[in-house]
Amino acid sequence: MISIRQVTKVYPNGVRALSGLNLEVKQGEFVFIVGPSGAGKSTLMKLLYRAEVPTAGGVVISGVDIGKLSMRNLPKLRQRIGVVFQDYKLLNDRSVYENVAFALKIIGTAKAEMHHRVRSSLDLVGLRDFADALPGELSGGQQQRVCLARAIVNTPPLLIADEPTGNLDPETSWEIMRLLTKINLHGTTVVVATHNKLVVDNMRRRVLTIDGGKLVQDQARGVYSVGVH
Amino acid sequence: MARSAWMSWLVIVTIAVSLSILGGFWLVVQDLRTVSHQVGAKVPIAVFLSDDADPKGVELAIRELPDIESVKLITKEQAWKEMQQDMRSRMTFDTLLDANPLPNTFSVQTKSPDATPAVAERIAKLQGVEDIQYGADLLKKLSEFSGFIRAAGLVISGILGVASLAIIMNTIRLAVMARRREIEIMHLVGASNAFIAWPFLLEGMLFGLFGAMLTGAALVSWRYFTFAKWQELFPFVPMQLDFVSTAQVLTYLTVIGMGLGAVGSALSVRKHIRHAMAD
Repeated sequence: MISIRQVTKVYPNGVRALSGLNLEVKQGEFVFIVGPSGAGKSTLMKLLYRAEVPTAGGVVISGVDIGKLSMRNLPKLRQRIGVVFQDYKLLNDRSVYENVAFALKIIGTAKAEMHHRVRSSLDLVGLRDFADALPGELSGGQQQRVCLARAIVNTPPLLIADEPTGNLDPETSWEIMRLLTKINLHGTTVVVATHNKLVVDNMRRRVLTIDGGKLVQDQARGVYSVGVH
Repeated sequence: MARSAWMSWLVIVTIAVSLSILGGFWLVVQDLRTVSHQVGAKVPIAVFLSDDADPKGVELAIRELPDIESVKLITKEQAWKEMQQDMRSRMTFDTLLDANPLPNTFSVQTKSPDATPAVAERIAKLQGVEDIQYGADLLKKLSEFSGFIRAAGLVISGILGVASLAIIMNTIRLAVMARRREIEIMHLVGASNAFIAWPFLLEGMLFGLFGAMLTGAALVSWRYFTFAKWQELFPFVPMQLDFVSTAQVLTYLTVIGMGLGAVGSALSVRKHIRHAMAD
């Protein structure tokens, strides 16, 4: 599903975020990416949905080297990858329903089909009754669930979550993780970058540890075990 | 919101001013063309014959030329009598001259005013024709004037067009900036650039459309006003309030205005959507 080969990313300001990173993620896997701040987690996530392009090496998703993708084909990639952000990235002047429907509207989904999919997506994240609410009226956990609903509404094969629980309390974090697991069970490959030791240690999933821009540990049923953390 | 409404008005009015000036010049040029045609059609070619020429022969030669509508002979006796009548109060011809000094004259009407110069030239070369006269000078002056107006109109409208474009671009830039977050999210969930740019292009085109509508109101009222002026200037030309040509010009202006809006916002969106992404 994901194959990262010898990827180096140097930002224009000279910061070397990743150097010669290699990793593989199989279809249907649930993977945590952990590591201290500045280890390169966020950069790796951005490379996956191509908010950044690698300075060297290849990021291959489903057989396509997305670093070489033309601007014209970029939307097609993004439509096949659901992304969950730490800061939710919701439109605050649109209802929950409209925020979720947004991802379908841009690919020209028919109204009836859209309605059906948005409903089931909101059902999955438990926000059926909040369809008409504005994001500002929701708690952080609820907003993150809206973001999740939007990410999965067009059933992408890959879901990427960058610090999805970064702004949430432990209980709410568990709720989000439970949902990510549920989505994974439906066959979606899930990659989660996180700082949340508690969550990682209790989930016993594959854990990839990144430090200094390199993969330093790959545990099949791992725990969060970097440095002082 | 109030701020953006004010901005929108500024854009629309700027477009309207540019289009009105372009349209105003355009209509004047059209009117001048109409006047030229009318004048050309009205003014016949006067053909003066030498005294030894045979009027019948010349008339036949003229009738053989293309584009001749009618040929009317005014004999020297007729012309003399008319002139004496016209000037009776001022002088007595009986004592002044004993011979009629006027030549036999043909009044030649061409089928179209455009043909007049060519026909006149050929008539002038005919045997027995001493001199000809037609509204060449007037037509030439009209055509020169019309050319000048057209050039001035194009230059002024061009400058105003560039100014409108700059204002459209800036307004769309602000609109893009205001919706930066939305654009970023659109990009992230996989919206194509075309999908994102489309509403901005539409906004630009709407500016153009509303600008053209204002222009329409301005030009139609201006038309009523100038019509009277034209009649004063060219009382011998029967004119009609020509709303067909006004409507035609307005159609072109609408297309130009919407094109201007679309181009302005396309340029702006192209430049600033990337910026919105980079942040």
